Amino acid sequence: MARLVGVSIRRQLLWMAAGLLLALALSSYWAAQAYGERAARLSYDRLLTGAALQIAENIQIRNGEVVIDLPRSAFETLALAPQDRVFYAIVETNGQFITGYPDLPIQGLAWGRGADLNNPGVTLPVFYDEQYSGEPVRFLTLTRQLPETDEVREVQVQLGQTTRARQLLAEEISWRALQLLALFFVVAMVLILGGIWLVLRPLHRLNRGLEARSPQDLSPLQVEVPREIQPLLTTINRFMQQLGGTLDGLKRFTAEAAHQIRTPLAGLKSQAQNALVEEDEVRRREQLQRVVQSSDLLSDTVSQLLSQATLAHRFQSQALEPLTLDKLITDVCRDVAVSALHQGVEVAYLGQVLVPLNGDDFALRQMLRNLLENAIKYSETGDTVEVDLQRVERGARLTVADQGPGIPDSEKSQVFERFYRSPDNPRPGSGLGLAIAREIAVHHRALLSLKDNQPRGLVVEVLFVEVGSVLQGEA
Amino acid sequence: MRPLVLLLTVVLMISSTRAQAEVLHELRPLGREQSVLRIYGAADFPVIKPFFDAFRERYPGVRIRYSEFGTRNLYQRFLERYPDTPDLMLSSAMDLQVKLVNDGYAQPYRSPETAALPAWANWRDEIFGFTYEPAVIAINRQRMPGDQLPRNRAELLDLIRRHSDKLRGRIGTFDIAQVGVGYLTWSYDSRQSASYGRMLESFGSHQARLFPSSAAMLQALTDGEITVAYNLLGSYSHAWAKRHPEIQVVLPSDYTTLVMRTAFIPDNAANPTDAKRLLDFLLSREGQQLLADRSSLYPIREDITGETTASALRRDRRSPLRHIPLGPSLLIQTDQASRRALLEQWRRAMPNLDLP
Repeated sequence: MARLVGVSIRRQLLWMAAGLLLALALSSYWAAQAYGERAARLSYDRLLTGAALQIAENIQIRNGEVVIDLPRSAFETLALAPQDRVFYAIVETNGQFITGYPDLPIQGLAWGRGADLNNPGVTLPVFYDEQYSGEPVRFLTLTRQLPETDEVREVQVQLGQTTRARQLLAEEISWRALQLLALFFVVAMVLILGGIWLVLRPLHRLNRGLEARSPQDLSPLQVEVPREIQPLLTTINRFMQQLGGTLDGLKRFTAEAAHQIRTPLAGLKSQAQNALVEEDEVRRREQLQRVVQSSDLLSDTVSQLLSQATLAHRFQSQALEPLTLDKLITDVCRDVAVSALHQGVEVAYLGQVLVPLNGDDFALRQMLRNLLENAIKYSETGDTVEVDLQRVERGARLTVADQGPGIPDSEKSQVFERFYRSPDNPRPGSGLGLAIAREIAVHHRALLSLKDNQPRGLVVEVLFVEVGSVLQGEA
Repeated sequence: MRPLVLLLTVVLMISSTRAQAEVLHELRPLGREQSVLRIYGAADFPVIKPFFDAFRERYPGVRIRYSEFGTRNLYQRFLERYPDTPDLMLSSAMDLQVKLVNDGYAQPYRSPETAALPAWANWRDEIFGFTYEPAVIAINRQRMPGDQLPRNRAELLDLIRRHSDKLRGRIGTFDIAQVGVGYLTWSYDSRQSASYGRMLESFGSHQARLFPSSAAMLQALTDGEITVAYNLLGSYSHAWAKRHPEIQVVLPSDYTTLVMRTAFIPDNAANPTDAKRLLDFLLSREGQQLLADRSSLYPIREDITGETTASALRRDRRSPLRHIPLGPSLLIQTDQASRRALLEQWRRAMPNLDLP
């Protein structure tokens, strides 16, 4: 693709058109020249023939001697090529020279041609080109038969003319052709230039439209473009829309994060101030205990925010890699099992299938950890959090089920919003865990949904739509 | 004639036969000699000399060697001496000049002056007409008192018929076998004129006398040796008639043949530079005016004023002018067979010719 850098479509079109036109013009010029030469040859050959016939008709036999009275009209015919020299010879075929130029070149072919039906007693003329007297000369030979009482005598008329007029005519014809061709070439080039400008104009318009807008303006471009350029415009608009969405999300997130951090910090500060002025040792201890709890919560919130930022960055830059989902799940379960046991909660993994998958290892671990920590947080001592992985048609289903209070249906859709906290929820939390999990699921084209557990509790289900085939069979 | 201080005339009798003389006129350069310009010409030297003098004033370093010939002699000498050629050929025998050019003996020359010529006075940029010559009839009026002078060929024949005895041996024309311009006009008559046959017969039966030049004919007219001269060159006749009022010049009203004096530069010219200068001067407005004023020649350019100009001739509506065009049709005149046939007729008609 590097080859195309700096290549101009306009110039390419121009070169192609010019090349094509030039080839066309050259071949037509060549044809015109050939035609000009042929036309000039034909017309001046006719004059030469006419003159030779007039001369031949004026040959007579008088007292046994060949007599020629050169007709003026013959030479006036030849003078239609006014700048050309004329050579002639009249010879009896027995070799007797009668008049004219004795040393004209003769072609062997000149003898014995068929009779000219229009001119009885005269053979058809034979034409040939020879150099004579320092110039190219067009020659003609014909033979006239003169019947006498006892024999037929033959007289050969040879007539030559220099080729200046022919060349002039041929040049004029081809010059005219050249002029026409040049005009055609120029007009065609102008039309093509205009055509190219017209065709490329939508691209310029598109470019101007993009250039003219401010960096903040990400609304769709409203430019009229032809069908061929419409996909490009659509792509640009879609890209801008995505960019706009991303930017909006970022703005909202930043605003919310600032708010979410400022509020606990203010609470923390007032609790610490209260503790400072508290005289009673027991109550001060309680207050300081609350400061520690608030700090934990804040630290939790900050780490969630950071992890979300990390994830957003990963999603943009990191490609999905092959991994095995079941292995990943057991790892994460093992990680959280210990801290869960401190709360008296047991984590059980029930899955028995191998699920290879293209995914982001870090992100999927984060998602699972969020789901598990959530489930553990809302469990009572002695409860069990059950994690299961099953194959469904073409996909796999991951479920995390607890026996906690569950989420009422009215709030199920809201808990995925960032920083949403149920008003009745007494437990501390950042309100980010489920939102992040959902983002990760979406990134893996998986469907995350909430269901009720029986008899109570919550089931989080992640439905991976397409996973790889099982390589090693069921475990 | 002008003083001969600068003029050295050498008369060379090259050949013993009549009208075969080559006369060499040499014009010394006015300044230091730088080059020699050799010219073969048919014009009488005194006629052309004023022009040469004007040329020498422009180019004082040029020595001019002007060889004067009869027109046919000029042609034959040129061919005999080839490849030794002069630098410029001037002659009124258009047919012979065209024949030489047609046979490739000329070199082309283009200049603003040659381009200004009318198309019919320039063939192939190789041969250029520079003056007209009408072929005229001249009559010694004193010898024909009281008679209406003929205005055309028919009236001339009528005159001869009516004064048969008086005109016997007193008609003059060119010796067409020897004089190129005479052959040219006569053969042109043979193809143009309805009265050609009767003219030939009439000239023959009246023992027409044959002359080698217009000047000789005019002298004979003045001397009373002949009474009528046919087909002389108009320029000499008009100039002569001015000095000898008894001579009447007639432009035949049936048609007047116009020949051109032509010039070409031979392909082998040793000094083509000066030849081109002289040719340009010959065709220039100044040179042409000079020919009209000082030499009584008819210049070819239309923008020249004076008595002897093409426009003056043309204004004289009584005589339709037929100018013989430069070009290949003149080859008929030089054709051996045609020439043999015409001379054969001529010799048969002229019993007083001492045939070889």
